[in-house]
Amino acid sequence: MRINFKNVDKNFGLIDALKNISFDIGSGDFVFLFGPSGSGKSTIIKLILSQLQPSAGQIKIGSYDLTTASKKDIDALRKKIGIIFQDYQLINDKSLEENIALNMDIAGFPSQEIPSKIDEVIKKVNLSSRRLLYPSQLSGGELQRAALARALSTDPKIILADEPTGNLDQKNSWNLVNLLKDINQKQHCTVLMATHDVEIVKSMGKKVIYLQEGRIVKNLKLN
Amino acid sequence: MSTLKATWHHIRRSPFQSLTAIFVMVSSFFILSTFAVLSRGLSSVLAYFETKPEVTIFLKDGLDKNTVESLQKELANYSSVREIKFISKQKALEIYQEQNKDNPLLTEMVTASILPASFEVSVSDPTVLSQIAQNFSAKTDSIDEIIYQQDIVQNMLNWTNIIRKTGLAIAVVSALVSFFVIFIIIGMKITNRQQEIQVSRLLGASKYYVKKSFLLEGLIYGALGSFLGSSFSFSLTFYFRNQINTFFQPIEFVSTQINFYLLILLSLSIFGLMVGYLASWFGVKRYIKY
Repeated sequence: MRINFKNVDKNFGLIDALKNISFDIGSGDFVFLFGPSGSGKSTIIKLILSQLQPSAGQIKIGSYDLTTASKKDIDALRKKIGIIFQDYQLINDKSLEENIALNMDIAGFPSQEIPSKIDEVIKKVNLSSRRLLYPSQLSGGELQRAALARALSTDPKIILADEPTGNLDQKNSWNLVNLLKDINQKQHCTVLMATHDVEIVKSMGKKVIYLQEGRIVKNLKLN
Repeated sequence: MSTLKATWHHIRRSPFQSLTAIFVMVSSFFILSTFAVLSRGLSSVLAYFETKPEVTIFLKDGLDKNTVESLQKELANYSSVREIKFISKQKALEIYQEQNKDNPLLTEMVTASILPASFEVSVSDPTVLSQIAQNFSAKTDSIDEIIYQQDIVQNMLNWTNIIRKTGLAIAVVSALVSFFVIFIIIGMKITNRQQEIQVSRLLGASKYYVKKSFLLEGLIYGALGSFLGSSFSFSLTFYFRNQINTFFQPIEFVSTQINFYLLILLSLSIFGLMVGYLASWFGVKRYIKY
């Protein structure tokens, strides 16, 4: 699924969070949104999720034009996107498998397909022994892999990862990034990962959108 | 995850809030059902008195046939007299025996000679009653006593109206209390589950998807509360029906027909569902903003 931003501005009152942002991410691409804190990475993720509306410009995600999309279209689009947050956003009083089941139920999966799909994604992120545990019983690395398992459960066309390694140590950060890379290659889903970790960005050799103070300063591939 | 499962999850995660909602609904519908039974009983009492002759004129003993006939003619001359029924001493004994057939000791001790003969007069215009009562009470040589039913009916009607109005007021207050308790509890549950609602919306859940489990929760409180409250009230009424009916004899104050209870149970359950649904509907409308 393509992600296309054309001359997008986003203002919060007098503050320009994004200024004249244009980029095009092709279907199946792995792209980093790179930049320091406050550069506008999360604002771009929120615009893609339609949590925020652009002040100007046009955003197209696949066939959805977010400037004209109805609420129903936005719900349908969100079902095609797997999201990973820096603070995981798992539901605290649901076990890992219940968290995944909820996501699949929202996406409209038939109830008989849910258990086998949960097995599959939990195995993929190596959390089979943790499936009945609650978020408070998981470590930071496990929580982030659990969030990835939830994102993968609906076979998303896009994975949005907002600073997913922000709360992880180096080992867990690399585990997660490698998992995302693996999924991107095998499932050909578009991955957009916001990060300020230069080591990860450099070592992956993927396309990078470099943001500073709400503007794109470089749109390049780092090695 | 089915809506029912999600609702059960909400109930299980805050059991005391759920129990409070159900307890308030049970209490309210217990009161409502009890007033329904009481109202039906009062209607039976009223109907009993309304169908009885409105003036009963008891005659003195030893009157000859001509005197009795002239009294009857005099009564018949009043306009709007609907029916005049002469109850002889023998007929009075038969009525007494019928009313006390379960108590042989009472029937054995009473003979026709100690019971007075009487006229039972019913009228279509109640204003005539006072004239009859006034004129006949002056005939002290032939009339022993006059029972003027209009006073009783009027008093009964006044009391019935007071009790019905009080019942209606209590019912309205109970329904409002139930409504607001469910509204507040659903609001508290929504507030407790803000994170789940926000995350679900980001994952693509429609507004209706996140609302429906809370709406079902309100429906469950309404249905369960009204059913349990009404059933409890009816069970008690049914258990004590013989004692109550014996007290009000010969009036059947508490109905023994199961259909009456089923109808009221059905009506109150529907009402309970409506209260529960409306309260939770207002709750989700007020508290779910995403």
